[in-house]
Amino acid sequence: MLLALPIFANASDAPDQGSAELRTELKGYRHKIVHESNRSGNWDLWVMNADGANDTNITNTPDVDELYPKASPDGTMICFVCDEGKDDAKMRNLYYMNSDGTGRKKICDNAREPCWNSDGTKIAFLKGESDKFSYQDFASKGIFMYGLKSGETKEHPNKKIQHLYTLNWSPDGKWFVATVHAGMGFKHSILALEAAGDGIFDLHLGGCRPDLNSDAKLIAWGNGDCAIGMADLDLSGPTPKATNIRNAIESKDPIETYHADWSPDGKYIAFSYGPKAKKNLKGLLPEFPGVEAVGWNICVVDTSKKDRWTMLTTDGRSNKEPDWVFVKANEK
Amino acid sequence: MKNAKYKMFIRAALACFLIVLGGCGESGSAQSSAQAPEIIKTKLGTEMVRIPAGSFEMGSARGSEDEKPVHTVTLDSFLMDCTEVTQELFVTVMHNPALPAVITQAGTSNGSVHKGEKNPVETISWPAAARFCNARSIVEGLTPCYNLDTGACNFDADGYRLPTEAEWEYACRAGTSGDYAYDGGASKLSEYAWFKDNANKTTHPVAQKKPNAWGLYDMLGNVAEWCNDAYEADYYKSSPKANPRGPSSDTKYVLRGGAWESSADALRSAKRVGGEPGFTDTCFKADAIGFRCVRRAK
Repeated sequence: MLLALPIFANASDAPDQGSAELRTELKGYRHKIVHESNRSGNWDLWVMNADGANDTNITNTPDVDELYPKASPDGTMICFVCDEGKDDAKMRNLYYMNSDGTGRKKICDNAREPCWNSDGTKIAFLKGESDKFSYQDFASKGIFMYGLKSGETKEHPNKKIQHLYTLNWSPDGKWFVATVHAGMGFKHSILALEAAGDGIFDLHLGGCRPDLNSDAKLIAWGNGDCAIGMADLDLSGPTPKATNIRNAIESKDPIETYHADWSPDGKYIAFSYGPKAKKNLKGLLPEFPGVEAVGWNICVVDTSKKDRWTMLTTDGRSNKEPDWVFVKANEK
Repeated sequence: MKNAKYKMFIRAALACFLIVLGGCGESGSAQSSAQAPEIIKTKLGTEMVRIPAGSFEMGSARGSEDEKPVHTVTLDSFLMDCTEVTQELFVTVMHNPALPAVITQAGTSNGSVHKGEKNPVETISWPAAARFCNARSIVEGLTPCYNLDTGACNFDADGYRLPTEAEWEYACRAGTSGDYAYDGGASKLSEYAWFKDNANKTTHPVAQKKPNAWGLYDMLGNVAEWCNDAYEADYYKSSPKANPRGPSSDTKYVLRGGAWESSADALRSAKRVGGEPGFTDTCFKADAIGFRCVRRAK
């Protein structure tokens, strides 16, 4: 059923054999992918091989919903959010754990959109704007940094930060990159924010949900609803810049592409795609973490060749928010 | 509202004088059959005007093709907010503890770009505006109009909703038939509206300019206002005469009144715009779009 949809606008340029080739190629790629899915009856985190094989539930918690996983740079830990409680008591809280699902530790109540620093010693995150639970992506206030060793949380010096989502931390620790929606005088943009100062710069990339590659020389993002954009990123100077903007893959409306994530070596981008929500007034859009996304699956695109992509999950059970998990060369 | 005394003066003047302005619609002048507007206060303290039942000529023979043909429309009485929904009202309603999770889980944040308690809420999609209408109804103990699953509007419910396009134009004209709902045309627009020539690229607190003859502020300019109707360019060719409620298509929805970024022509009473409603747009970023609510008159 899902495959009958007009998945990619240029699917004719990406024959099935091409995607099969990529899938075979990914069999030999040692890194894994963690993602959220509700295929178990509620939301859990699943880890699969790069070719989609051995997709395994690592949380198995029927009473709470784990979402938005982000693996540490060395692949040993995963931070994530967990929706806990029902109805008015529902809250989105922040945790981290070992990448096999053991050793869960809470970091903060009412927090979201975490990311790691380059050596995996700190997790940055956003706090919820309101005490009341919301799926709304930009319902956040401030940036906070948690030290795993100290257990201490420090707030970003700029106390006016608000309405960010999809937080990234540059490997040199000097910059955060995130989407803003109606905050700090910006309309809707992808911003670079000084990690230790008040400087905020618009990268002038249309769209949202950015992801930095391992050396932050590249950025990928949802370039509108129906494309994964890529650009060269320069965070070395006083004014961050994104140039050479192009698309890694495009889908055809009403199929959306979101949640881009660079593989550890920058060769691939994992992303999720699926149909837009049907008309309703509930405001719950499939690209939001924890919102049911019927027909959504995880894909991988080869960033070096246009339209070379493959689908890793096929059940369409709200498979979203993929994040590459680094695996050492001698590990499996 | 900046000046309560000024508002009271305006209302008293409206109640006392029949404003008869020369010319007809085709000459670009205004004609008003002004009557004393009855103002009611809602449970949350917001003021609404009781718009009288009546008939008017909708559209413009001199305007764009989608404003033609000019046709007679008859409407029932209804209540309309005196001002665009402010950010203060939006936050007050959306943070009310009485709201159910089905409304709050979609978000309660004020997503306006031009921040200010008395400024109109903007950067708001059509479904978010409709959701606010339901929230406001719940907070005031009224029956919500919108079905959140289908988007359908129950016009018989006593809660808040967006105005139909006909209700909006009727209220905007306030008995006039010219291009603008006052005498003097575009040259006097700055007295009534925030628009491109005077807004300095931002919204402004509501009710700073003169109201129209029925006591409605900022019907022209500040933010363009969502209507309940879907937009079709040729709808006037087949629309019903009594209480028209828009075409069945829903690709675009009607925006009326122009905004802080609009030229004078976009602020004409009959000017129609079809806007992307934002049903599936997480990145809705139109900071010139807001709304005001209406309610059934009991």
